[in-house]
Amino acid sequence: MADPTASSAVGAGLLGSLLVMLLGPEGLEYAALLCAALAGALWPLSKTPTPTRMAASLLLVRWTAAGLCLSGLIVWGMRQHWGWTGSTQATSVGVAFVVSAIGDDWMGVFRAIASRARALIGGGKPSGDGP
Amino acid sequence: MILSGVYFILTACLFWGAVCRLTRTDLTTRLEVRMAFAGLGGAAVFGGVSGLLWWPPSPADVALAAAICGVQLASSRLWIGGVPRQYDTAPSQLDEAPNA
Repeated sequence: MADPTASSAVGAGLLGSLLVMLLGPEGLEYAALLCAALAGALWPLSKTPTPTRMAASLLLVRWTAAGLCLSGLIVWGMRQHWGWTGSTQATSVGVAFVVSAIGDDWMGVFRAIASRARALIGGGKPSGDGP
Repeated sequence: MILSGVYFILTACLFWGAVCRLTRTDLTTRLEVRMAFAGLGGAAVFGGVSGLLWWPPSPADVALAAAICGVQLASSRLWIGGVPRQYDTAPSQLDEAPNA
C-alpha cells in the first residue's frame, strides 16, 4: 500500500508544477502575495457593517486589489529611497498584508502621522487622534 | 492528490464561513471575536493554497479541517439573526439578553 503522505506530496508537487507551468516561475510568488492580501482584507471586513455577502465580497476584492497594487509600489520605494536590502518577495508579502489590513482607514493613518510630525516640529505631545 | 483536493475544499468552506460571519460583525462586536474569525479566514486561505502548492496536508490536517467545518456548521444557527448578543460589546443590548 502506498504511503498516503508520500502520494499526497506527489500530488501537491504535480499541482504546483502545473501552476508554475501555466503562470511561470513567478506564479508561486503571486500566489503568496494574493493569499497575504486576502488574509489582510478580512480585518477591515470585520469592522465594516455590510448589508449583503455580495457587498462584503466586493469590499474584499477592493482591499485585496489595493494590497496587491500598492505592495509593489511601496517595496520599490523602500528599495530606491531607503536602501532596503531585504528579500523582495517576503517584504512584498508583508506589505500586501498590512496594506489590505488597513483597508479604508488610510485617513486615520495619515492623521496619526501628521499628528506625530506636528508634535515633533512643535515639541508638544501628539494629539492621539490616530486610527 | 485526493487529500490535497479535499483539504482545499474544506479550507475554502472555512474561508467562506469566516467571511459570512465577518459580514455580520462591526465595531460593536467584541474584538477577540473579530480577531478569531479574521484569523480563521486568513489561516484557511494560507492552508488551502499551501496544501496545493507547497506543503501537502496529512490525514490529520484534513480531519482537523473537517472537524472545524463541522463546528462552523453546527454553530451557524446562532448567527442567523446576526451576531450573537453575547459577542456584542454594547452594554444595553447585553442587558436585554435573557441569558446574559
